[in-house]
Amino acid sequence: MLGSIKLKKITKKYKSVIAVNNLDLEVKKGELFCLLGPSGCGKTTTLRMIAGFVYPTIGEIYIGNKNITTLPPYKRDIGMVFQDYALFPHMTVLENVAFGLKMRKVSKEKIKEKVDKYLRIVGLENLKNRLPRHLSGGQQQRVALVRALIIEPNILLCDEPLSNLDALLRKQMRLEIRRIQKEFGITTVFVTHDQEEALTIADRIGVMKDGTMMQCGSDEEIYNFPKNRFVADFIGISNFFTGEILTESNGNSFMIVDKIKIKLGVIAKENIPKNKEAEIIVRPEKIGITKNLNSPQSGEDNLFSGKVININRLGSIIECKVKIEDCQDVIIHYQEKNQTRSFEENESVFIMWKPEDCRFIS
Amino acid sequence: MSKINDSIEKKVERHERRTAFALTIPSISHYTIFFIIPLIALFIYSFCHNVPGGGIETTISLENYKLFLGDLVYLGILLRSIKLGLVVAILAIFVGYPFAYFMSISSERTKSLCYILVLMPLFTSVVVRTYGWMIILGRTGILNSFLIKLGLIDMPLKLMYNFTGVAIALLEVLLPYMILSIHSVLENIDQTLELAAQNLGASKLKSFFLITVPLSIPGIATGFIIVFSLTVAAFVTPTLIGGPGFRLISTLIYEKALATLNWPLGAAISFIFLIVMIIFITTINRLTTSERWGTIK
Repeated sequence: MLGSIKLKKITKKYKSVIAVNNLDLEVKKGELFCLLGPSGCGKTTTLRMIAGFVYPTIGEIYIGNKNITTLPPYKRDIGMVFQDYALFPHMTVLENVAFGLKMRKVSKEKIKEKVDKYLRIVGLENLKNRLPRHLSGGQQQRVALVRALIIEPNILLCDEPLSNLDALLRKQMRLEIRRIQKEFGITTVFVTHDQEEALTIADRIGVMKDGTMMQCGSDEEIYNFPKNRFVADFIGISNFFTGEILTESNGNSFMIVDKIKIKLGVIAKENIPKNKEAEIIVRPEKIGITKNLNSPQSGEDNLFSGKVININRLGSIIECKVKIEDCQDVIIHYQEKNQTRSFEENESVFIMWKPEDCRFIS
Repeated sequence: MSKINDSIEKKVERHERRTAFALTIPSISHYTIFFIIPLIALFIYSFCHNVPGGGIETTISLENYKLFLGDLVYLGILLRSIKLGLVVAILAIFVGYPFAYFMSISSERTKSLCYILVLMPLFTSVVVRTYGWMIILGRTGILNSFLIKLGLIDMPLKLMYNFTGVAIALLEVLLPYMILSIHSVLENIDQTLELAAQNLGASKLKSFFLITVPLSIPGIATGFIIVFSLTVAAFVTPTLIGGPGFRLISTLIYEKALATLNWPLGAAISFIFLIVMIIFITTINRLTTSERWGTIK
């Protein structure tokens, strides 16, 4: 139980601004939970409330069974990694990392032993006596991480620790953090605005907007079953279709969008909303594109004709925008090796997707 | 090929250096004419012989230096000036730091108000401020009357014409410099650092003393040097509050050079004083310079 976090009805008001609005959150022991959202969504405020730098206006915070809502930060046994690392500039790497242990009155020998061990885990044992200003961004980041982990806290909090690193280093460091987190089994709350980061390392993700939790779940749940427009739009790319629902006597359901009829599959059928107008999304990698219909098509699939508007390479994936005949544009993602040839602008094509890949969003 | 490139590079460098130097000509000329040259003249005078009544004989000797360094009274005055400088500067640290820290953690509005409070005295003539202190510190002054009325003392405290009175007045006059010096350094210290320390287990007090104070040492050192220098060089305040019986180096030099027109002696005392100050300031600078605090020698 120790090491789980519970936030009950947490609200934080600054004069007339509501930074966090009636938030309920549970983080399980040992999991890496990502708080994801755009700037100003309240994720950092929430993190600071868990850390104790900010006190909630309403609500309670528990670590395990202990109510820590009003405990000052230095009594909370939480390790924190800040966005700009907050390394003490007047102390060496060794002194920075040893600081938490010094505050806990650990013996000098024990401190030396532990510092050596932890610095070796992140490969910085040769930089013990350097000052932070003589370290690269990645090195500073690792020192900040180790400084928080060495006190063996119940909880690790990370406030966008990778934002100041270049893209390649970010990718390396986030896997490193994930590896260490799993090795120590430490409950971690990781704040980020980068959805790729969250999808890569998190056990569960909480997507926030304007102080409210929009959806909370595993990366699969959030990606494949977004509950609302915001989550569908924020995570990955979505093709949105709005239209009337039509249910035929044989049980098949369709959505009428402009002049086309979209078949809705089993998974989507179960979530058919009561009102006749609804919105669905289809992920771009679920849509296939082809010039001719020689290859066998399942009669069950949605099949429409259209014209290529533009086509771009995004690394290993090709992104293609197609205007469906008598309907709207869709974005398609595919990997080149799956197609026999690439497509050109204004080319007439056929696009298809399975009915089950339609997802309702409320 | 590379030789031709080298000489072109060197020509460009030379040209840039000359341009940079040209930019310094106005201030260097001003400095040279109005400071360096008079200083050299003064240095020469210090080795000359004084003719009582206001003349100078250019017979070079060390008589002026010997006169000053051999006289215990004069040395006592030098020591007293240094002691005054140290006392005022150290007190300024303890009085000024809390205020500077308060400023750094207040809202923008409070901060602006504090700035005005700190800067306003600097716009007032030091003569006026010193007269203000005379009214407060005198035997029948505001402070003594207040304390007697409250029954805290029977006899008025002697706060004028002595070390204590001069120190108090100089402390108030020079405090703004210390506050501004410390505050400007505090403003550049990341407030997240104290939060990080607290997160690691340091109480608010501990995080202040282990993180903020060490990082503000350059500001404290600068403030100390400024207040120390201004104290020992102060003239108006020690003259008015200390009176003729309370002699400091600054008033001594005035007395010798301008009252009795003994320029050579005045010059010699000035240079002895200058050397002592240089030693002092260089030592403090060396002690408080470290890569750790972001200042590099």
